[in-house]
Amino acid sequence: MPPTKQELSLLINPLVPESVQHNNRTLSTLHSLTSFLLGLTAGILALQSATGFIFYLLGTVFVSACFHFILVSGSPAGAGGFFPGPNGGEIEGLDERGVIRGGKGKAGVVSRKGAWRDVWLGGGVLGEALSGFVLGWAGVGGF
Amino acid sequence: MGFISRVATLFGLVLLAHAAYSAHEHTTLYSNARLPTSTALPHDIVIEALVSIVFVSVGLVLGAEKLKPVSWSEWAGQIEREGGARNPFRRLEERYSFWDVRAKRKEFAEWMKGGVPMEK
Repeated sequence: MPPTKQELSLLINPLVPESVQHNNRTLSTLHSLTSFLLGLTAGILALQSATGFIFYLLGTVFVSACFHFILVSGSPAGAGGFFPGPNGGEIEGLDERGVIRGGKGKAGVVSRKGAWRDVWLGGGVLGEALSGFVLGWAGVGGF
Repeated sequence: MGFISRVATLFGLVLLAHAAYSAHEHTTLYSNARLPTSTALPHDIVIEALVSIVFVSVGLVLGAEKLKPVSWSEWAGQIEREGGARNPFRRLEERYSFWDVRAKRKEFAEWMKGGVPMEK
């Protein structure tokens, strides 16, 4: 059985687990902090039910956008240079024979496929960060 | 964390605290009012809260730790360029080369012949 694209990607251009961990931790720290503050704001504004969650969604999108434009998009590989993506590190534009063609940016820039998802949906946005949001929201809303 | 990010975060937090206090005061004031007035928050508090959250988010993002490249090649290149103790392969890269035992022995013998300073 020929190796899958993901296996090929990891053979050609391995990932550094430390860096992956570090980046994920940075992202989730950021999201936990900001979502708690978003919760406080939602409480101050006395938002209720669906409005509050829409506020959370917009706020998170804003934070992710800041993260993307300030920290990520400056590098040539974009998000693919900092996050492995949902396919376990598959390189964008890799064909069955292990040749990288196409892909975005200049030649020689290795970008992981679908890594934007890690930036926009990762970092515990629907998990721990959401619970932080609800905590802040309910805490301030109680007053 | 850079200076700008700290200032932005701090400013945002102060604004947020002020908005919270204002909202709290507004609620206590208007819940005691006999006249049937609207209890909705005034626009300035809403705007203050929203602006504060923007400031805090931008400040926190600016102050976040720098991301590290995940591809081994880039990461190794970066470490190589920076040098220093972060390089896990430094132990392998900086080794003693072959040691000329004869020369060292000769040197030692000469030093012995020359006499130890303590004995003189």
